[in-house]
Amino acid sequence: MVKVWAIARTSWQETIRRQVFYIVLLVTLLVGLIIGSQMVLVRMAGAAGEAAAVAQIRASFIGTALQVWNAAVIFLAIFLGAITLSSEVSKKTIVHVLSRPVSRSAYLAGRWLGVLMFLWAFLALGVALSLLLAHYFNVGWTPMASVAVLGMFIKAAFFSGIAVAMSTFMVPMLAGCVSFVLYVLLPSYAVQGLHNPAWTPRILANALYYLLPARMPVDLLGESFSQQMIRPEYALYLEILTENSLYVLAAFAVGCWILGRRELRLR
Amino acid sequence: MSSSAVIEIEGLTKTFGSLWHRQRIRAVSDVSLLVERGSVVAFVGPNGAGKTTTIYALLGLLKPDQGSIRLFGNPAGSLEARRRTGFQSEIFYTYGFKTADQALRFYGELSGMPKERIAEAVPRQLARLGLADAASRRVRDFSKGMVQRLGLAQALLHGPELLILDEPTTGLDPEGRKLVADIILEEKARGTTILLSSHILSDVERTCDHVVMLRKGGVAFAQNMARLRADSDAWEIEVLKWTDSARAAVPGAEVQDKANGVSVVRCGNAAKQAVLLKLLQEGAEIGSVRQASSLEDIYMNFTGASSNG
Repeated sequence: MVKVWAIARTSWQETIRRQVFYIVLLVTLLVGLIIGSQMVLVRMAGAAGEAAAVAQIRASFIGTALQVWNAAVIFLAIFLGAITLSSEVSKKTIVHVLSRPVSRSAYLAGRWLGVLMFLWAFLALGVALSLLLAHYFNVGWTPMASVAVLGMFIKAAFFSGIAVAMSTFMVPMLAGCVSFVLYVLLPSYAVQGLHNPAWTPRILANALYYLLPARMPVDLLGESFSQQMIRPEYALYLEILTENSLYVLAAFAVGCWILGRRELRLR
Repeated sequence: MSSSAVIEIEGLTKTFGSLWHRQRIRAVSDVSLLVERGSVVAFVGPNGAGKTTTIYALLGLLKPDQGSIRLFGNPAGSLEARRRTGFQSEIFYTYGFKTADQALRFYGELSGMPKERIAEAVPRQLARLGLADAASRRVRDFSKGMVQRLGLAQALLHGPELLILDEPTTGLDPEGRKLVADIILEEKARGTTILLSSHILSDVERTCDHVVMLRKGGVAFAQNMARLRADSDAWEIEVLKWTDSARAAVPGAEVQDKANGVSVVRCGNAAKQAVLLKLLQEGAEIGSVRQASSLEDIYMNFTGASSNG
């Protein structure tokens, strides 16, 4: 465990120095500011005495801000997960790590843990900002928002873990793209294709439905601050989140198995 | 299999290339090697001879196409083999954002050293390598030579039984080179088995017990250094100042003129005493008398190229 922790700390230190993080942070804040411009409407609605509209705009702003932050985290998770192994190989720092008595699975776990700690810290910052805003705007923090935030943390683990696992046998660019296509685009296709009248896409959609991780039946973030909230099924949401956690652990185990059998070609 | 053997390589063959690359390069071909406990073995050979490939296979980073490698009786790359091995690569690739102290602590943790041992070993190794004053400096601010010395410090940190050093003097100044050679001799005296890959033949002659010369992926020559020295018949007499009569007194000897008026007279062992006596009688000023470098001659014979050292 000491070895995994040592590698994780180093992975964290590397990640926090990556330029991409600062670019994503800047873009996220800028998008947040642009979305924040809708607060002008709050002033207008307030002046018109539309208290309900004011509350709705404020709640919607917090939900949207969280969604933007979530998208940034997913991008960072895929990107950082895909490059965490290859950057060590290209810089050859991996040589003096793996020449020590460190198993490859412990090494990969440490690299992933470092990225994950960073993503979760970034996510925690976004959630903290949202909570502050909710408090400032007097917007109620619903139980569904808490589940949605939990889902965001699990998503960060999911996408980074999948990208790390993919990067054990793919170049980082491909690992990132494949992770994005497989786990961001294809699940929507699978759900839509289940009812396709043509049998070929329907079979494919059915296969994908069972191969890909489970999808949330509702957009938790979108629903969290909605005034007409659906009847929440928390047990189902938690079951899906657990299932996805197990899915990524299985994918990570496959990644460890591949890395353990792979030789390191250093040029 | 010898019970005292630390490294056992049998028929190691490694080819690079893939299904997509038509050209396949055989980096190492049928290399066999036995390194006994406590010995210092030099790996010499021109660039591309297969030294680093063999070393990476020893560490388990590369997998042999054919043949077997065992370290301390364990398969290469096994945790037990790596636990007892210290390795320094030609260039020490490490994390520039860490300080020297942090970097060594990191490698200590990876070696499974307890905290107390790390706390004791890190400053000791930094001082040993002349880096005590730079302990809190970031590695990215180090000179090339300092990075190399830090690389040796991390290899020595956990007190390994086997040291694998891949051109450890790359980028070092003469002082640094001497320091590395001294450390190799200290470790040798401590009983550490050392596999040293180097282009600096004078260092190899000074520190190693055995020499293995690789060429085009195969073992071209392997010999015990003591035997090599004994077999060498040539001697070199360094003459600092000549007299006219002295030069005429040794007509049969081979004289090579060097810089600043210094010359080297080469002669066989049998003629050595007579030549020396004549030179002294005729008033020549003698600088030194030493056995000629046989390893360099052999290297040149086998590789047909000059060494990088």
